[in-house]
Amino acid sequence: MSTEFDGGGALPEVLQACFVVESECFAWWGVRNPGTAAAEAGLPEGAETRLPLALPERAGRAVVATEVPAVLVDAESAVAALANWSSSTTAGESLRAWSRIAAAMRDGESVETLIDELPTAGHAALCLDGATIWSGRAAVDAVRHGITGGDATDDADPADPVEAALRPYQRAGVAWLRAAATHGGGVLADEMGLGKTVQAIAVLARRPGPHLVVCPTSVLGNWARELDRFAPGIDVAFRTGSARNEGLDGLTTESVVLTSYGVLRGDADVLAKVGWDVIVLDEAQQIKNPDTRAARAARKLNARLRVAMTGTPVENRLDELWSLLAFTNPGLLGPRARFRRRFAAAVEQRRSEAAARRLHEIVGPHVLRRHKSDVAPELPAKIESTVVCELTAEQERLYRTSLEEVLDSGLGSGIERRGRVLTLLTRLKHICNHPELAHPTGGHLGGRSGKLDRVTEMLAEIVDSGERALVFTQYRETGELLAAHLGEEVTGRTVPFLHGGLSTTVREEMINRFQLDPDGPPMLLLSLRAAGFGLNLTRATHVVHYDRWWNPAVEDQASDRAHRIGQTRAVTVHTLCTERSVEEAIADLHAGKRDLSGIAVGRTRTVETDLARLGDDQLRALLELDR
Amino acid sequence: MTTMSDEFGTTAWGRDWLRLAEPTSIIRPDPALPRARSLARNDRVHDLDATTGLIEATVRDRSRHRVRITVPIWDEPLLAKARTVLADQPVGGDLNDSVHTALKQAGLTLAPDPATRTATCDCTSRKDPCVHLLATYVEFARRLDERPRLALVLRGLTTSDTPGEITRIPLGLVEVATFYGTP
Repeated sequence: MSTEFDGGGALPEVLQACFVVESECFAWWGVRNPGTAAAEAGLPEGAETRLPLALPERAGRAVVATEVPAVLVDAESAVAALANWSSSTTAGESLRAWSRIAAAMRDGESVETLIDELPTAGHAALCLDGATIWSGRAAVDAVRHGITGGDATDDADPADPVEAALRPYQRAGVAWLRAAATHGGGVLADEMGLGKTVQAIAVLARRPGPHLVVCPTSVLGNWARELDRFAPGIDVAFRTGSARNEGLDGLTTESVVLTSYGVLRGDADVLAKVGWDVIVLDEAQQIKNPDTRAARAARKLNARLRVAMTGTPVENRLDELWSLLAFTNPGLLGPRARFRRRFAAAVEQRRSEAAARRLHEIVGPHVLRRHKSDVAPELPAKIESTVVCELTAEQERLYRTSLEEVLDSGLGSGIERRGRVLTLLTRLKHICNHPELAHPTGGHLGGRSGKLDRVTEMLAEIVDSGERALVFTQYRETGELLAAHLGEEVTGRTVPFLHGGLSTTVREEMINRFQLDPDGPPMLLLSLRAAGFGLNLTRATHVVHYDRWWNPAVEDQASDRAHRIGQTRAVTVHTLCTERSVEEAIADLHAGKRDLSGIAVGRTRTVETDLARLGDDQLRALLELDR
Repeated sequence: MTTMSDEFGTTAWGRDWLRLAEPTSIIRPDPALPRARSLARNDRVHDLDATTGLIEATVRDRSRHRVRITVPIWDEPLLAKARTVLADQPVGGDLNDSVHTALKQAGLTLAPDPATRTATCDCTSRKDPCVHLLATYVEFARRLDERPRLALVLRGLTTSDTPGEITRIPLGLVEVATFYGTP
């Protein structure tokens, strides 16, 4: 006898136990009222939920994704109860197998042979990608993680900063990547905001090295910072710009070499001579075209574990998928021409669901893409992320000369001083936004501002994933520059810019188009002052602060345009920050890391005048680059 | 001249079966062939199930017809040979045409042999093969193009093509029979 459920699967009508890997808890399921059944069986009761599960359909031909009633119990109490549970013959085999595994764990015995006794029902909870389930071994390993806080199979220190920082779904991702070393590697395609970098660092931190990380120049600084924060014990070497010609001989086994796609293209042969332990390609959509030099260079590299990270959905872009997997899992998809003949025509032209499904059966185990909405119960409704960007050589030169000129010529005193300090601050912030704003040349905008390059990549990824973004700036000129550049590089159409110079009617029309029009623009640029409050823009799930404002409350207020009542999804707030510059000084003030006597952060109108009261030396120390 | 197109039989694995429908040795192609291809192209071949030694399918033409095809399975020495050839392939991977060649060189029969194959359809057509069988050959050729491992499953190599070491198993590869434990 069985009961049919949403999605077509049928309940077995026998109590089952299943471990939900990405939230590290056990689920009792299998009957209509699993809470009651669990209590009768002497198992702990827990939170009732509907759990997405792989379930055999009634006809028994196939397994389909189905939501079933379940109760969730945290790993630790579930394992304690299961270990002492006296087996009942009316219970499902999955429950009895988990009980044996839990008892072995309690007694410190090996669970190796018991893993094979665990039927699929014991690990049938859908992975957050919605299309796979975790293997029995992965589930058992995850239980060990869940109850010890570390990996019982090796000597991980739970106090390790990276281990401590991982959320359960990230631990699952890390475990998947580590296991992928047995067959080449994998594509980590979690949506932006889910922390791909920290997962990659957790993998690097516990493997012998040497490791190579290739990323766009715009995120090199971010990588260095994250490595320093989560894996402070690792030596990081840059292979970029001037350091590029240094040999690779000096690498210790702990080293992580950070480099850019430009260097990968240029120095392919040198990099291919090294036997790397792990190679990570970040923003791997950079090799989406398999014919490019970067893609060919990547395929030539040697490593025991190859990881491609991207936030763009790859499964239905077959050339991109082929290119990424040809790097991570060579041979998996076969030669490109054959792959195109077999899948591209069927999936892209005939829209064959059958072909798409069978393609997924091949690539599914090797690509992990999870969405924020599925991780949602675990995630805070608002995720804050600081994006550190580097200065380009042009920015750095302009910044230095601007600061020196003003300080050398003297700032004067009184009202005159205040005016000059304000002008200087504005000029430096403009240079961080884009050198064109401080020193117009009419040249092409790309490649000249670390922030502009990074924001362009981020927004392309957001738009590709079908999401919407608000981008705030405090300067009209910056907004116009962004509108022109992003329209050209990302959306291919005009990007609306809402600022104080527009009439109320035009502003309202812009807001309605963004918020309500099905064909509305995927992004909206806003002036912080004109649009910082009052508006309802909940269609956006990403907020980008392109430049820093002295008062964090003003930034928060702006972020709340998207994160407010009516918002049903998690909002990610990305705050861009140019490293070493005035922007980092502002960030430090916000974070309380820097204390300037007499400067009260939070009082919007007074900070800049307070800065005018600082002496020349203090001002220089605050603003100059070499800190 | 061959009538083979890019749509079906794009791999050596699929071509083995497409040749049953479109033999290269005959001068005039079977007049029922365009209709058979169109049935396959329009997903009219349903519930195609390939297990050890047996292919079953339902073809929805004007009414539904059950098709059943059997092929001999490999004996244990042949299976052992096949495992040796396959040992070097990437986990869960695609099987190149070169693997097909290597298996053939090892003396393994992959193409269906008309002498040992049986093929039946419950329609009343006196034509052999009927359009439903032809459609099933064409559809099975396409399935093999997409998942060459089916050719090995059909010969008894394994009941599942799930590689043991993978951490995440796609739903389409989850075995139903053992879902709740040993049946």
